[in-house]
Amino acid sequence: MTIDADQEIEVSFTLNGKPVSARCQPRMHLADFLRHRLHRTGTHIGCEHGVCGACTVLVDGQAVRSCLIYAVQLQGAEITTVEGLGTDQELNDLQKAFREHFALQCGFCTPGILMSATDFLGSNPDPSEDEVREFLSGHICRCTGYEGIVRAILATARARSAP
Amino acid sequence: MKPAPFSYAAPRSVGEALELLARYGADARILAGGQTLGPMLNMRIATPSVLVDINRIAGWKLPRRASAQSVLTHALIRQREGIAPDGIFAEVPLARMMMPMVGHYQTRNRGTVCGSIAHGDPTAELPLALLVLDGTVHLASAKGSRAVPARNFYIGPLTTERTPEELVVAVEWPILADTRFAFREVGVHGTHSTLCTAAVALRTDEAGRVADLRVGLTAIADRPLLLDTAPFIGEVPNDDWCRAICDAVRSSLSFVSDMHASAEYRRHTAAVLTERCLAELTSDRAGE
Repeated sequence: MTIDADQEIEVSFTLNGKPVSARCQPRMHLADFLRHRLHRTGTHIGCEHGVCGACTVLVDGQAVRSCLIYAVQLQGAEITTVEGLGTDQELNDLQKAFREHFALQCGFCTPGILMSATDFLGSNPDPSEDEVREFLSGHICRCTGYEGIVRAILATARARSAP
Repeated sequence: MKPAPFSYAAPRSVGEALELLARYGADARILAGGQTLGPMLNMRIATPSVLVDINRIAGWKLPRRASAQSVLTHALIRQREGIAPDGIFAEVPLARMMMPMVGHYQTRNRGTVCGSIAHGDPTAELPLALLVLDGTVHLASAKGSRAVPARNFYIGPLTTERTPEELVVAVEWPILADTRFAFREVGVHGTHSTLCTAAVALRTDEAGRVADLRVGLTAIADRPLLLDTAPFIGEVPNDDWCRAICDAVRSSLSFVSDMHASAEYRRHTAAVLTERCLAELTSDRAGE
């Protein structure tokens, strides 16, 4: 079945554990779908060509650029965004570490980095500083100089693996 | 930065995908990982009328293995699957050592190995690895299939032997037994925005003579290039041998200038990186 360019179709997936659905044309990328159709504005849009990393979300548990994947591709997928990390009342441990280590200033890049780090720490619970810096090379932060971000991620890894 | 309107098809089988490609031809683009096509769509460098999304194709059937001496990667193998020591490139060390330099952690989650081969970016690592290994690209269309050796696959910048009706269904990576590999890369930011990459494969016989030598370079021209290494086979590696190879890199390959580096810079860097690869692989050679 081919969906015509000007045809809107219903896209349904799981967002932060809850079923959601909305209509869009094939050309709408996931970041726009989250922000403009589902009104979840935690995911930020920076460059829209996969370079800056601001829009990174988890698709089926893996960090991907939401500007480089189209909503129509995601029927039935499981999407996690920054809204899915903590609760309205409380930040999760990674978010708290970012606050404690001054890992953000303006906060524009932060949701993407948090989502990447969530995937990264899941698959690499005891990373070296070099490994953290390598995975962070997929994100651009113009405020912090990255030092605080590296410290926050390493501190989270240490705290999670502490007995 | 929104893509121009496109129609969207998500075939469930390779046959269905090939029918769509036959119907739409050059008006269609194949969407696999989308980590290169996505930016091109968003920036409207590419404005296909239909996207053929192959991600919903289940149970990829691989072409018949040419021999037990190769690894086949099908069109939906993600780049991240090539990183781990026990991953898809466990027996293809040259490709495995390049993988951390391919894109970023986040783009490797989505980007595919075959996509990188099919795109043919003249600065990309995987096409260079395939060329040095003398691998093969397996193409299929509604009319049939064919296998194209990597050395014939790359024609020019982002231009390959693949016709718009064809899909890269798999890439075949030869396992070179008893061969050792080295590669070096220089980029604008560390290993990103590559300015020059050298890859060397070396096998010596029991007497220490060179039985197989392959030297490949990329990011220096419109496609990855191989050095003619015939003059250097059969010798026992020494300093003169190494110097002659680096001289041949300088004199027999063509280099391009662009906004990032001059041809002269690339020529010099290519020889230096080749020398470092050779030094790594022949650290026990005489004369040092």
